[in-house]
Amino acid sequence: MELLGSCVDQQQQALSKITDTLLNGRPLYSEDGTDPLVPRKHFLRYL
Amino acid sequence: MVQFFFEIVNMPPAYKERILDLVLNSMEAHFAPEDLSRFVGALLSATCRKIGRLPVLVINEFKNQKRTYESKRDYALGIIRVVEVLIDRNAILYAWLRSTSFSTDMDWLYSLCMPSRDEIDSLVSQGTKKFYHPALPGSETLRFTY
Repeated sequence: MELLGSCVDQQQQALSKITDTLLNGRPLYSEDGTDPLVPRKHFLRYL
Repeated sequence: MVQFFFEIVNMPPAYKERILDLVLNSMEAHFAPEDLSRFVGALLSATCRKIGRLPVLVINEFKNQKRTYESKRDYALGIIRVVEVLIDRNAILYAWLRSTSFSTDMDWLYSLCMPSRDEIDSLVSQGTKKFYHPALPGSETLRFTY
């Protein structure tokens, strides 16, 4: 159970880094700089 | 090409990061924005589907074979870390957010922490240890024990 816990912990840590990028990432712009995308907005829309 | 990425995941960690970095650099330099978007959509969709199907309780099946368990865990973490590395790059994150499969990918990604029915069964009826939790099917009879 202890090993299982550490396995799930590591997976969740990795997942929370991905969540962090999606929640706190900077706005992104297209090639011509006209089409800003805010990762947070997209992520919250999914939720 | 997607399969090629999964081959990179299987490489020893010493080479993996550098090769992944080189491949991503050349992709960003040579792909047209539409091609990059289409490719990233397909790649992350396949990766998230794989993540969603990763067994959480693989340790139970290989209880006495630590080596097998370790390599499986590394593989599982390797796949999740590829997503981390990919979305660190703005062009790729941008393409993923715009891809039509983004919501489905999120579903797969966040279903990682939910054990399958078989995993729940093996967790509940493991040896003499039995657990009660309202979310665990079949554990209702143990309710008054705890």
